[in-house]
Amino acid sequence: MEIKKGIGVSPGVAISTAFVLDAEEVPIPQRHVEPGKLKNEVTRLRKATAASKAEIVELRDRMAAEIGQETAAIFDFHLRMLEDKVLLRNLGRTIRDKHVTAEHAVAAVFRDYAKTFLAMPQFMAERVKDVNDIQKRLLRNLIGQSRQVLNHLRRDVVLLAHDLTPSQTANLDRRHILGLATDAGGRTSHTAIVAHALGIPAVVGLKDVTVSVQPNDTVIIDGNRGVVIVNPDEATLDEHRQYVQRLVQVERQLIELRDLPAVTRDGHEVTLLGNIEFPAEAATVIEKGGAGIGLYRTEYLYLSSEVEPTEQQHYDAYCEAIRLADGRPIVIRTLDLGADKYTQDRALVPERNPFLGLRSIRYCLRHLDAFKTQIRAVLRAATTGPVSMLFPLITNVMELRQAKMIVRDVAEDLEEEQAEFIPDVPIGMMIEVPSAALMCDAFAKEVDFFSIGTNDLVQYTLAVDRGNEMVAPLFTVAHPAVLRLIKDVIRAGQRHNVSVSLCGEVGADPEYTLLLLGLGLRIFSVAPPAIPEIKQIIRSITIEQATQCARKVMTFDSDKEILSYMRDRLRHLVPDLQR
Amino acid sequence: MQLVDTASRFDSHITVSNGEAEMDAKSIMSVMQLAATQGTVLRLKASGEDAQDALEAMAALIRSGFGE
Repeated sequence: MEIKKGIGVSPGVAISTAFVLDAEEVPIPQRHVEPGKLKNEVTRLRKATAASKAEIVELRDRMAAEIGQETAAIFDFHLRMLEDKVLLRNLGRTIRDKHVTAEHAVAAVFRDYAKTFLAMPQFMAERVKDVNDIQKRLLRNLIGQSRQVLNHLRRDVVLLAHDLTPSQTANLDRRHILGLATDAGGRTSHTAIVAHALGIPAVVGLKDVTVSVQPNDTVIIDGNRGVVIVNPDEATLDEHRQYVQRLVQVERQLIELRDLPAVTRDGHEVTLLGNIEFPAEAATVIEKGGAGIGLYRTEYLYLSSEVEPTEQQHYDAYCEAIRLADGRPIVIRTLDLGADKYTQDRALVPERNPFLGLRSIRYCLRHLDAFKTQIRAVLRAATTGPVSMLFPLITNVMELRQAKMIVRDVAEDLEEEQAEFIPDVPIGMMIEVPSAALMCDAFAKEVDFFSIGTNDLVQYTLAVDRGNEMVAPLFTVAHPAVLRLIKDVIRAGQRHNVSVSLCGEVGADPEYTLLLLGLGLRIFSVAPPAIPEIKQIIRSITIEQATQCARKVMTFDSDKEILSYMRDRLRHLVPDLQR
Repeated sequence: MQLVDTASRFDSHITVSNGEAEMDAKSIMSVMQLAATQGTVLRLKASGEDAQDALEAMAALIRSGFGE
């Protein structure tokens, strides 16, 4: 039994068998192979080799026809490699002697060749590129055989990976994944977001859990305590099963809250909304007692397929979400991608610093076709229910005005086409960079609402990469600088009659509810599982208490003091809150 | 690659050596490791029914400068 400590980013406890994803996005059905299955691996390798050769022959012939024999000659070279009996014998021997999968044999053998060639004089070293090319092709043909596994899990598992990227999680078979654990990642990493969306426990920042676990090991993921236990002994298993029981009971109590309003003890109404990634989650938000969708992240439409989503696909997704929200308002955020495969694959030159690069609204303003497609779908879908549009990562007023102008252009186009649409959908912007927060007064004159994105706001204000486990402890909303910005934005909203919501992960953190209310926040948009708990807190306190808390907090100068104080107040004012 | 292509035409077991390592002449991955540049002295060995023909063909190839 091994106990590993990480950061719990999504609550709950899951006990199941491990499914491991390695660092190169290759799902390894098994790293080690039983002697009985070795022949199967050799067969897989043979098939992948044959498929790779066929691909190369086709490529060569096409190149020869289109460009010329000399260029096509490189493929002859690739072909020779795949016909090399010494290489093939090597691969087969590795599978049989080391008892590993075909993928591992390929990786190991090719790595050795690459090392040998790299140590040789210049003209041979260039051949390493070709060797790597062949390796990739072989792996692709091998993985093509097993990629289906991730999409069609046949039994319940907990997923362990080095890190989970949006494109990986977009294609997961959600029905069978009971928990997530990653080596990398911090509190607001993508894994946390997905886990919240699925309502499953997750622990990140474990550093080396993927090497400590074998596929099919029994694993306990405790998102509350931030612990992962590999191959627990009987006593530990029992203890956790009972824990799960108790959690189920608490869950039941919170369900009862669903139909009660989010009103403080002194009668102040608070709007509790939900954040969603997929249309289906809109139903979950309503089920948990949310009053609407405060943030519909549309990125998954782009990440779950190889090609860009069509207008129809956008439209269908939005209408579905609207339908499930059943008359409640939805805020649709335009494409907020960057620093990830989608934009990097399409970049002419890889960005050295993607987080400060062409992402989100900047990307959209450069790729007007894609941007307009999305906007068209939003304006058209708005005929079926109350929809608002939200622009991410706005850093200056010109950007915002440009985006609004494009919305007007799209409206004109739709008008000419005599399509059914709503031309004056409310438009808001995310406040997630310091420049936006500092100039919130200027921005307030140009939008209908603000949405504070604390995840990115903290990142840019404190200069901390939220996914870097080395500096994850520095990432906190409780930093006085961040709190001051949040306060200023809320005040600006009040002054200009612009509604302000908060959609970052911190909204779901019970320790911050009092403070945020005390700073004047009245609209929270959180991950659906958190709605009942936040509602319970709201119903247990008075705004007077919240304001006092906020006033006191703003006098502290360290996040540790602030967190300690908030924890204390929460325990005091909401003693029966189950954590 | 032409070295490997030529060697592969024959049934015999053929090796090529650069004085330090001896490699299977039909294996491109192995031959690449010899790092044979202009001026390297190569020793060819063949054993089998068509060994003589194989050696002649390989020697001719090398003497012709690989057609370059």
